[in-house]
Amino acid sequence: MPLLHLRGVTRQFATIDGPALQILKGVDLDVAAHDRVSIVGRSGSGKSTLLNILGLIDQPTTGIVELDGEPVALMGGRMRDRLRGATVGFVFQQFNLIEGLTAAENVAVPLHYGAGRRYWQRHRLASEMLERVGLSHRIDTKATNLSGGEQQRVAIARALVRSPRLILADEPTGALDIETGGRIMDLLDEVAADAGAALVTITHDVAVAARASRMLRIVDGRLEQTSAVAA
Amino acid sequence: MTDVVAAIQDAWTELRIHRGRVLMSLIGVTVAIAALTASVAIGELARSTLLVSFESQSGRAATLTTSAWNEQAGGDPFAAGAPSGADSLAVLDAMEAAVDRYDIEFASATTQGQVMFQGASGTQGVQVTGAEPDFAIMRHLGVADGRFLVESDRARLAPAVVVNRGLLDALGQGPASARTVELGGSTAVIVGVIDRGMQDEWPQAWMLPRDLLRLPEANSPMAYMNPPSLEAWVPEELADDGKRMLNQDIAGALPGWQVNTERTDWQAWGDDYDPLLPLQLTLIGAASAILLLGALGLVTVAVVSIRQRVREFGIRRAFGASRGRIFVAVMLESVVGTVVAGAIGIAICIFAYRLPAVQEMLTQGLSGGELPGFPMGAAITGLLVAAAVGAIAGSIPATIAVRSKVIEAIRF
Ligand SMILES: Nc1ncnc2c1ncn2[C@@H]1O[C@H](COP(=O)(O)OP(=O)(O)OP(=O)(O)O)[C@@H](O)[C@H]1O
Ligand SMILES: [Mg+2]
Repeated sequence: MPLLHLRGVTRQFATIDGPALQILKGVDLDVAAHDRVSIVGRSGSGKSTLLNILGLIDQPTTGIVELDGEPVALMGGRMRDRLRGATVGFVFQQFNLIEGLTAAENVAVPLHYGAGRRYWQRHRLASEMLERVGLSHRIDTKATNLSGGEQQRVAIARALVRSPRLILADEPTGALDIETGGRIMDLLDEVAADAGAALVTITHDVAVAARASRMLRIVDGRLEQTSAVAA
Repeated sequence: MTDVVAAIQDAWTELRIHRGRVLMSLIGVTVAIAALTASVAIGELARSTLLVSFESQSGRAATLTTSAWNEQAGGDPFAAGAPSGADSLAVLDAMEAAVDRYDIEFASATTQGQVMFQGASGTQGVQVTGAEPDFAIMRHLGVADGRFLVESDRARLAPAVVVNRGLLDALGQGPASARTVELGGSTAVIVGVIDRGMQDEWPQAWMLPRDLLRLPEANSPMAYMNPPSLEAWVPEELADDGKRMLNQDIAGALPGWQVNTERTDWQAWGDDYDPLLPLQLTLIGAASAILLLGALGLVTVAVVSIRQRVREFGIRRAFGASRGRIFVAVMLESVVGTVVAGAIGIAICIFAYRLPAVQEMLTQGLSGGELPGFPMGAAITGLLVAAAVGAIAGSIPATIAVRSKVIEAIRF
């Protein structure tokens, strides 16, 4: 049974004037445990929209989304929130760290919403995660005082701190220079492999996309298989 | 359990981050809670002093009063002359026997009489209360100098008497030199002086009931002696049974007498009787108005700042926080803030209460009494109100926070 199973997923957004925007028009996708998937597509093609659905942040207009064989649409809101926290780790393009919190406090945020045992160990777990991404010297630094590359490392540590089975990265290198981006992708690949988590990466960058074992492209609201060369 | 701790921890971190902004609005809450706590405390202090004054008039809860009168005298002790000394002593015997039998801890036979005493400017009348040692405790009767009547006074040859300042003044001697007084045709030894201020301008005296009844003058019609009655201070839950048993017992011992026992302390006047309620309501109303202003300031600041934090809530939702959790977190920020602010306000109140100047000012309102400790009820009320205001004020930004959508919040 795949970790994630999508069939005929559509998503449309209502507009104030005029017809609704049809962004996703029938997406079929299976993500197995340990999978390495990359999704490319033009700007505005619906990559982030799809990622939000994969991460249980958003719901499709029609179609089926199953997590571990369970239809997500039938779950209550609280259940979905709980499952998201336990299963998914997000890495965003804009890092999305919480200003005012230190690196370690940011990494510990997901632990506030999980099991009690991990909550009480949050300082230790966060420090270990930061060490893992090479930031042991930045533990008590405010998020706003970190460089872009450092912030994205913190974001990766935060995504992994609850040992998710699915890591969703939305243009994780988009705000970084090529060299830093390459090192961040190395790190992401490595920690995901270590943790045994599936990794779905959304990107513009062909080099980044080529790292995955499976590359998909969004064209006209649908997913199609593609090769690195064609991307 | 962990959820609660984690939520409070989140709230505290938030407050720490936004210290400056929150501080200003919380100062208002501190002031308001200080005012509220002070007004509740003043109300409670006034209540406790008024309580003492009520209790000194009518006895503590529960006070049972047994009175006896002779049917042959037509039920009116003054109509056919006072009961004879022998009759009164028989009543006293019956009452004392009943007190012994039921092992009542605090009880006093009481009687009143008007006798003459020898003052500096001639013979004067004085109201003498026949009372036993327990009477001082039962009626909050404090002795300024010397002591009240004690058990060993029963064995004296010359009767012991406690006088008030008015009587002492009438004797025309300094307090130190006045040792005896010619009272009701006998010489009584002064053992203590009572001074309750205004109340003691006019001469008054207290003697053991038997000593009073034995005064030569006590048997003259001019003495207007009341027949003895019995006051017993019993636990409230025993009041009903005690009333019935005392009455039965004393009536049985006094054939030919009419005996009646009633609960006479002021708390028995009515369940809802609370003379201080209007005062306290007024004080609390004023404090609430201040508090409302403080809370409005808090809401305004919180609502403005919540809009800047929509992204943060989106991030937290993405990492597993439920809507309910976000709501509680935002509300708790406000609650933790107001509780801390309130606690500071309460601390200021308690500190101010301890200041000598304030103590002096407050004791002027009391009749020479010591101030009790700061009323804890007021502190607890202040804290609860602070928490409630925080919860109400916090629910507005919390509602805004949960209404924002995650996908919107983290989109750009
Ligand atoms: N909540 C929303 N309401 C209305 N329109 C939306 C909403 N979210 C996305 N859209 C629209 O849907 C389209 C796809 O958006 P999406 O963010 O998924 O694109 P993307 O492929 O991630 O683009 P980019 O590469 O620029 O990030 C865009 O035209 C966008 O304006
Ligand atoms: Mg996007």
